[in-house]
Amino acid sequence: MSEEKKIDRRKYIKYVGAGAVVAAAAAIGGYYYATMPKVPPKKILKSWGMVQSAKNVVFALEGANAIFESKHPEVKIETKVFEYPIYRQSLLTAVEAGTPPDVSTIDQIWSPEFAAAGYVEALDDLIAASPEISKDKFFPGAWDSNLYEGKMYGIPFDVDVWEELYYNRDMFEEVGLDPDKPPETWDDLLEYGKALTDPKKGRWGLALIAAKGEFSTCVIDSFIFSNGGDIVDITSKPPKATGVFNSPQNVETFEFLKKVADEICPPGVTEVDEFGAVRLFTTGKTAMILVGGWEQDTFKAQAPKMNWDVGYIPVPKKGQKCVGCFGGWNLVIYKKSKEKDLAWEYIKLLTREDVNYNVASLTPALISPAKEFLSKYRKGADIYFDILMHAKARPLVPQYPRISDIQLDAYHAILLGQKPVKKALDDAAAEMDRVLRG
Amino acid sequence: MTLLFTSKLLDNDSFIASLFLAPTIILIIVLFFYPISQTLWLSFTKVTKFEKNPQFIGFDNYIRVFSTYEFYTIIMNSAIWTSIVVAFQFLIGLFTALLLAQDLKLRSIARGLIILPWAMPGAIAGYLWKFLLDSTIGPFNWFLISLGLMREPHSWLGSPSTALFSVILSAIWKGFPFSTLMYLAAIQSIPKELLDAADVDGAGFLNKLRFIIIPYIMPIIRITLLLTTIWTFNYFDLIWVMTKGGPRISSHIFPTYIYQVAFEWSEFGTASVYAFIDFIILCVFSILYIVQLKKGGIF
Repeated sequence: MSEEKKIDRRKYIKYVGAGAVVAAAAAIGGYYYATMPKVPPKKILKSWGMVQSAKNVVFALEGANAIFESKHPEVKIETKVFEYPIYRQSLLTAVEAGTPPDVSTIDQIWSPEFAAAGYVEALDDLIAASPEISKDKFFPGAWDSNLYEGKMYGIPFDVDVWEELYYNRDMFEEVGLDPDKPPETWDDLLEYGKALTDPKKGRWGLALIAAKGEFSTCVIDSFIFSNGGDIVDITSKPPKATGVFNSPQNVETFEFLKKVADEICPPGVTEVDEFGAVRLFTTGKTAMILVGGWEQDTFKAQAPKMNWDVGYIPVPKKGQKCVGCFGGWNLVIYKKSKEKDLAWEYIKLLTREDVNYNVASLTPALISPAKEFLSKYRKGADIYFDILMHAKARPLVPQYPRISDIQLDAYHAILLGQKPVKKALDDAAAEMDRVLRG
Repeated sequence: MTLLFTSKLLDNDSFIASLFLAPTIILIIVLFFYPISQTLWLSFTKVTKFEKNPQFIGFDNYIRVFSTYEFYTIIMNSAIWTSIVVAFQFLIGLFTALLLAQDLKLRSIARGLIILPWAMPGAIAGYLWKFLLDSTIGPFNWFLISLGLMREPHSWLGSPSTALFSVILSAIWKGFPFSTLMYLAAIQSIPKELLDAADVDGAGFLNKLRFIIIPYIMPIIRITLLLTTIWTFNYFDLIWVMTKGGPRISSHIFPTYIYQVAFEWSEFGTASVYAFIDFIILCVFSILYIVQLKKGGIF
């Protein structure tokens, strides 16, 4: 190699190296300058939530945030709201990445999972020191949904129940059914449904939610519970499903649901999710729907002229009490939060009766404002409140997401005619037990 | 002494080359080798959200996965999904490329419009097709009924027998423009004299296609087929939006099933088994791709 080339190469490398160092230094310096606060920064309290109905939750939270910020002028609340289908994954990703919000709502069914995984703080000491937060103010099922191994890991924020029966009064009248007498029993539901079903006119009796998703599990559970069945015995150590999920009552329940899907629902129930079912109802394709009361806001928004009404979930036999599937959201504080004290203050504000009334996306978790809320915003408030007070929670086990999927898989195998009911439930119970044993 | 040593290093070709390659190599190690080796390790462990310290369990995960019907269903679904999507993207892509290579009116507008499916985000395309194929309000059913091809609506996404083929249809629609663009560019690079000479010899369109066009663009066809195979095998968003792999597992392929097992069930050991097998399969296609590039003189 020539001397000239050696010198050129050395110079080149020196210049490139020097240039790279200068560029890196400039980039780092520029970044810090740009992000350097010009005034003393406010503390940021990150709060995440979920929207499930047509309610403008962000708008509702602005009022609560303004109250909090006026009491804590050094704090700025950053609120982020997600749609339900992506919320869980967004939370899990943020938590595992080490960047969770300070406080968020989580679905009741995630509470044991988040507690067992060590994501959220136990709040017993904070609850003990805060007389304004007391168990008797909340719906009992809502409070208990925060318990895991004897400790409280959240505070109830809002609640709701799967489900009520909603029906189109005009469509009832068209086929000669009395719109003041919605179906009360399983036999009634089938009878009414058949009268309302006319595929040639593109009309069916019932929009049954059965697509992959927790909404379908909730609908199934309300029928299971109303027939005296259950999914998992959580009192057993470890919890067990065999003998519970494949009980004779559950076999009866799933046989009934198959009949309903085949005889009075539009084709393809396994593709009907909550939004699809609501669309079927509001466009007049189905005369009835089984769905949660938060969708009343959606009925009003999508079909303001529809003449609809509310009824109880049909029960197996006349005189029996329907049991809804309890649901709702809890407020939690993340272990990795650096503003736990502020997060607790924020939780206390959001669960104050007057504030909770305004910000809850579903029904307030506090009994007193819930009554007022239901009377003002929900048609059939008495029915709604009755179902809420007697609802039953889904199995509060850390492995619940997997248990729910196994249940849904069995349901689809039955609906699609791939397995007889008993076999599907037996297989599902065995798989649930495998998961519960770890 | 140090200066002399540094000076000697700077004169060393290999050292200089490795200096410039170092950032790339570090990136490849961090973004490729580390995740792959971690995945392989996790596939031999039991690790969940609740038991975060991986517990070595040997081949238990593999034995369990290989003994489930889900594994063979996923393999079958992935094979069907990939082969049909790639085949039809090739055929439709080549057909539209031949069409767009002609001197037609509004050709430039057509070329612009044809990109739209490919440019659309996968999730949006998924929701669009979910609506089109909806069993009660979707226009697809009513179109087929009005043509007399069906008597009553069918649940395309709700039936195990048609769910996979329904998402295949949407994937073909979404992906064929890429093939069109690749083949169009290749066709336009064919020397005009060859085609003119064929015309003079009385060759029809099919003969020109068979003896001139296809052979000439064969390297591009091979590369495009390989790329679309790799991308299609790894597809996620369309299927997840339209069916979430259901009903049951009838439309699950490797990426969607891995996502469900890892992120919905938190069974990271099992998910790693599927992920590693997915990686091995894709390695085969990647090696074929590199061989094609070498044949083409790119390496």
